[in-house]
Amino acid sequence: MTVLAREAVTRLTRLPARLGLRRCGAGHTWIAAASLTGWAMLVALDHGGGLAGLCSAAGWPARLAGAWRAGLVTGRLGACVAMSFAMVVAMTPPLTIGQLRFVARRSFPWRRARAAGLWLVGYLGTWALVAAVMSLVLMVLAPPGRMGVGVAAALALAASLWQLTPLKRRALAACHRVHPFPAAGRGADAACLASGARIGVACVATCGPVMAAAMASPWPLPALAAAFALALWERYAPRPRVAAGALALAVTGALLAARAFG
Amino acid sequence: MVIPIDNGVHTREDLWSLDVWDPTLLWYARAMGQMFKKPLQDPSSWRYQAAIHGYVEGDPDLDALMQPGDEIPDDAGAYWAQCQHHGWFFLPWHRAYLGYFERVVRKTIVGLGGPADWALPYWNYSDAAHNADVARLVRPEFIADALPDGTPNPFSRGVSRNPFNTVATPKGQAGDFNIGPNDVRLKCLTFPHFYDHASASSFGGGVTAFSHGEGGLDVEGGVEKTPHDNIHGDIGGWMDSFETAGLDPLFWLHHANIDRLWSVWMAAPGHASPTEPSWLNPAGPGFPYRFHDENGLSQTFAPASVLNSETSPFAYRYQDLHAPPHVMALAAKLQIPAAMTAAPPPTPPQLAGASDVNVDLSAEQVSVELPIQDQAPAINLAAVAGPGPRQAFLNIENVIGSGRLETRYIYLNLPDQTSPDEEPDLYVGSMPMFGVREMSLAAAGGGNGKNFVLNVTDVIRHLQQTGRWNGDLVRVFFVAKNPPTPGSKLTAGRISLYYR
Repeated sequence: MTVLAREAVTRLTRLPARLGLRRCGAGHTWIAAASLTGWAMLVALDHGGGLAGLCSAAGWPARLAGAWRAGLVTGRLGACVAMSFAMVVAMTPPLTIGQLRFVARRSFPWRRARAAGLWLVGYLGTWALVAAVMSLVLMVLAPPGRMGVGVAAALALAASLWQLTPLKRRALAACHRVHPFPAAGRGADAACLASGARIGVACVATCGPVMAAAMASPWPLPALAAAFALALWERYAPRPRVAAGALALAVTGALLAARAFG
Repeated sequence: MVIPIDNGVHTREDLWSLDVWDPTLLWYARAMGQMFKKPLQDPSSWRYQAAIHGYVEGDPDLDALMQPGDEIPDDAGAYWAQCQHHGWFFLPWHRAYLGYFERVVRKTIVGLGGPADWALPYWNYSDAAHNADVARLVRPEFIADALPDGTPNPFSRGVSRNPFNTVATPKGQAGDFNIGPNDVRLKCLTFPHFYDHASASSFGGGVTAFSHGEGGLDVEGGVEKTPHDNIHGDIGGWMDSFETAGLDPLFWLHHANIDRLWSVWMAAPGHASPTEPSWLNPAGPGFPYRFHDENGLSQTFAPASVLNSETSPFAYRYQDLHAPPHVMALAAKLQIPAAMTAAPPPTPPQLAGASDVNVDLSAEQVSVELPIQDQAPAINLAAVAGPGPRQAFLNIENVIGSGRLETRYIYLNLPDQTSPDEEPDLYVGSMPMFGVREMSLAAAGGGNGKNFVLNVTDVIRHLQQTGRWNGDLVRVFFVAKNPPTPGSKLTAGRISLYYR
């Protein structure tokens, strides 16, 4: 198992180089380790039945009436939030390589960790908040069974349409944007934090709909893995064709719809 | 004259050494005329060859050239808009681009009854040894209205360029596009490493993936900045944009010289091209690079195959590979140690100080102050000014602009009320605008703008030697080459000083 884990870390640290990015440094290793930890958490939290199944309290009316209370009492709400956080940790760090490199290289040596940390707080905080809200909404709207699959189908089709909009392309371009920041002082701290949050918002706008569809899927783990692959491709391919992602999502949506209503 | 093939190797000749309407130029013009008539989708057409460098649907200059029967080929995504800029693939990609273009032109020339020995000439605008008084002028053949037989001249007919003056030369009325000595300075030849970290200057550019100029930290090599970018901007018109540059016949002569400078740099002791597999045989999204050869067949290319021009698939050499004398003097001033390995030092340069963010550089003259951090004991930029291998790099980060943009010349610690002309030793380099507009557009990959890195070690040493260096504050002075056009906007994300 240790050998397998080591091999997985090695392969993931080589990913940026395989993607033609840069040679792996210590930063890449940390990013790979964080991502693998997130995936391990997801696997550990998954008890089958999909995210909705994991997070849902008993009975559709009960959920509507007191999802928060029920979740807190049963611990499912906590599991839901934990799963959202695990999902963010698993999927987003590899998308931040260029941004973190920018923040580190544009900082004084003694401020690098602080600048990168603040940037990550802004970025992961944005994503974690959105993912937690998504989970809670899905907990209510996508119960296990046909209706949940129907919701997943609708989300996949909506994500497919989103892929084709100019807003999606604009959001993807914004994910690549870097924000120059002052070299020192509170202004530098605030700018790093704000930059992380701004990129987080752009990232949510880029991948959020796909993530929501994956989370609502009856098989969230493989769906999240596919969404992760799509996000990596869109981020690092020289000229990604977002229409290809739209097609894949449309096909997925159609298959889910057939399952729900067929 | 066209120099005969020697052992299968063609010779690229010095443009200004050619006679008036030398066969090398005459056949090039005839081939251009022939290739321009071909449909856009034909890989041997002039416009297809230009589209390999850059193409954007809806570009008004490109739309104006559309002819009946033109189509966008289905595989345009794999072959068009591939030019590699702002990184370490700039030189090898353009070497292959020129090589295949040369083969297409040669086949066209042979088809027209011309010599099979034909090779692209190079425009050595930095030539201070043989043609110093005319080197920076555009040859008369490229601005003449007609070929010697009186037919329209493809080199000039309909070609978009900046306004220019004419100057009498022994070869006829040449074009003066206001290319100054600073635009063709070859400080890049003194840089010891082909590539380096993002905040250090190098000859060939920073490490990138497939790069059409999108990255937030990507930085071009010294040779790509000056003279490459300067010449693009000085000629202007088609030459001033990725999408149209290859349409101008001067583009190919300009890039032949840039390619020659790579050979000149390589010939210097201690210089070597990268040995990293990720440069020699890159893999991943966007790779391998693809071209069509002269027979329309698809070919892939990796930098490893073009390290030696004579043994490359394009089999050519240059008439002259001597570095100009002023480069040797510059190298002595910089005191840069000869590279012992192809790889740069493993430690990236450290930030010493930076300006505020979003610095407005739109005015004709702008002065920006960089406080040097006293918190870092090792920074001690006085050590840069002293003897030893320490180097200092001025970074102008994430420059974005709109409108017609003018080259900026940059000076360090220029005294108040002093004209830049009075202090030439404080000149650190230029900031040419080629690519800035494209890199400012969000659609082009984030709108991160362009990064400039200049080695300022020699100027800091000069300031210290003349008692004008205190190490606490650096003042960077920008002066526009020409008065900025009203409405044009130029902003730097930040200006910073790094040292190593």
